[in-house]
Amino acid sequence: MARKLAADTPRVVTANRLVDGVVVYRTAGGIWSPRLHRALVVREQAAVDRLLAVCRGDVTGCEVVDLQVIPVQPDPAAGPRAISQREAIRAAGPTIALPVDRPVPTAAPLF
Amino acid sequence: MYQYDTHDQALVDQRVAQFRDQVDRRLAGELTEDQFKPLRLMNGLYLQLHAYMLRVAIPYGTLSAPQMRVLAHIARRYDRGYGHFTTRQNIQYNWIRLADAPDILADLATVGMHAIQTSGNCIRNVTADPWAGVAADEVEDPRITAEILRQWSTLHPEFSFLPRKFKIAVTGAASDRAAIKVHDIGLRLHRAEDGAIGYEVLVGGGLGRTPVIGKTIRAFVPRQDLLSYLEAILRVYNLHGRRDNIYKARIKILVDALGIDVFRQQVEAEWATVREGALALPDDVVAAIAAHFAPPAHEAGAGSVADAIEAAPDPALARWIRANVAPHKVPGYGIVNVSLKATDQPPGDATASQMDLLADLADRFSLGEIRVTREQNLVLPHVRLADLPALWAALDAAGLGTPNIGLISDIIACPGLDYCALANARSIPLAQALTRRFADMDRAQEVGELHVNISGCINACAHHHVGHIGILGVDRRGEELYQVTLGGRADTDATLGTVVGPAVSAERAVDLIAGFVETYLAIRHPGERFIDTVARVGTAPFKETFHAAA
Repeated sequence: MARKLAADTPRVVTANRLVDGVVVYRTAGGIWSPRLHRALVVREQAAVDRLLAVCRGDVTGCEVVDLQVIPVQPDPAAGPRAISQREAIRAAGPTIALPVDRPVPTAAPLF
Repeated sequence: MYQYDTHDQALVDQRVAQFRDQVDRRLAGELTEDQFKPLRLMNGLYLQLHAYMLRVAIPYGTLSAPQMRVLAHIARRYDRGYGHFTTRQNIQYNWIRLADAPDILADLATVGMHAIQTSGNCIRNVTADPWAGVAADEVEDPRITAEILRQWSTLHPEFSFLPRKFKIAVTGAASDRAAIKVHDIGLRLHRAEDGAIGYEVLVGGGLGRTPVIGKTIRAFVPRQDLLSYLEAILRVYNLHGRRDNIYKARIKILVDALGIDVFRQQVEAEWATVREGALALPDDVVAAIAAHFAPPAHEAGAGSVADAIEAAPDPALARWIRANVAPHKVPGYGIVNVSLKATDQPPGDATASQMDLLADLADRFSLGEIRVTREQNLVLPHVRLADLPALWAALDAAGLGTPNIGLISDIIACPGLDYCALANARSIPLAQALTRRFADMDRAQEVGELHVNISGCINACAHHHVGHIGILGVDRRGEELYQVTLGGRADTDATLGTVVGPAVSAERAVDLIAGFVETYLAIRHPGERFIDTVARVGTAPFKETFHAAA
């Protein structure tokens, strides 16, 4: 259940890259990075609105889709971190070891 | 198996060309996301947490060896080397690039496959008994009916924008292995007193936010009237189903609101207008489709699965046969269920190499056929009992020899919050923890049949309401918790489970389930399955276990 955020909650803008769906974050340099810790952190609503307005241009330009503003835990040294489990998983990938396509012994030939 | 004719092939080829053009226009900025999204969903392409997810239809869960090889190829070339078999007998790929999607569909089309109607408010892939055509208790192969329904429902213009998605399941056997009572429409093939084939039709079943056991709307619909009767049901639903609230839009809500008797009257009235029309199924059309599913040429053989267990030279082989091989209707053959639930593996996942191997093993040992089950396992349906040792050795060497079909570690789990944009909680790590807790297969066989289903949200993709033990992931103020139900079942006596207590942490859920197993072992009657014990004593003893562990 989404909770109401305080007005000055640190936030970042995230989206998915159109061509491959990769999770990306808007950086201070105006590019989209797959690394959350590079994301630009904004606090005031006016700053969020300005950033979103810029990002919508990249939606129109077919660079990204599904813009979202998410709250983060700022860390001046390491960069912002996700607060919710969902966003932590979006940022870092599945929490499980993915199946590895190792070679398997082949079946004996038919003939 | 059904072979595409020129019309089928033209349809999927045209769809590939259409979608390629749509993707090109989207990437070029000629289509907005709002314009494009319905088009990609019509081709099974979702945007999930990390990437696009492509859901590929496997009609009634039947695959040929060449089809399986193409699924392996897609996993290897376009994804990360694996795929996820689902509770609707489909396969999903989790790491797809939008730009690759048209090429994937083109590769699928080379073997008569596609992703049409695997999403959207239309009639979805029709599912069926995974033991179709080989089960000893079968009236008729349900894939004949499922294929007729596939042809009728594919791009059906009147039912392309229903109030909500629509799922149909078919069984041709006395034992329901297709979960027909929890589908929008469930069909049970049976014979009338005069020997004629027809259907008991159930309607309004479903899981998700509002779980409902389907009700019989007609005890017998003659085969020639099947399409007209289903058309009548869909028309009533299309007309009166709610479109104002997505959570109230499934047919189960309409049937409940009207009452089954009023709903039946409306369907009968509509049926009267279409019954004698073009939808009547001619015998020659049925026969032509049935010919595709004619039993393959089995070799003369003898012996039973029990004989194979007795003759097994290795106790591990005997244990695998006992758990994973079912009687075939032809003497000397067995139905081999291949577990995709190895300890610590995501339920339902198979790597590309495993898929290739299964295709080779199907060619060598199973007359080229493979099935996908609702339980997220695979089936080699035509295996000579004499070949079981060689087959088991090959499966086991590839991590596919886990002897746990129907046992506590044969867990059904959705992708959950590790992949899914809708999920509230993770499913796979909990399933893995349970498989580690119950990794002792001798112990699991002692416990016996016990179905655990884990859904990461109320949409219930893992059918948790009908698990003997059902687990629902919830988000409580940012914390992943799990609500446990007991006593659900999806078989002939389908029942919804009962909540046994407040939601608990994942760690506690594992301990609780271990406690439920101990309680069951302490109170079961000889030969009594877990589900039968719960039916006999209710949930009270298990609630005591729950509260004692609190």
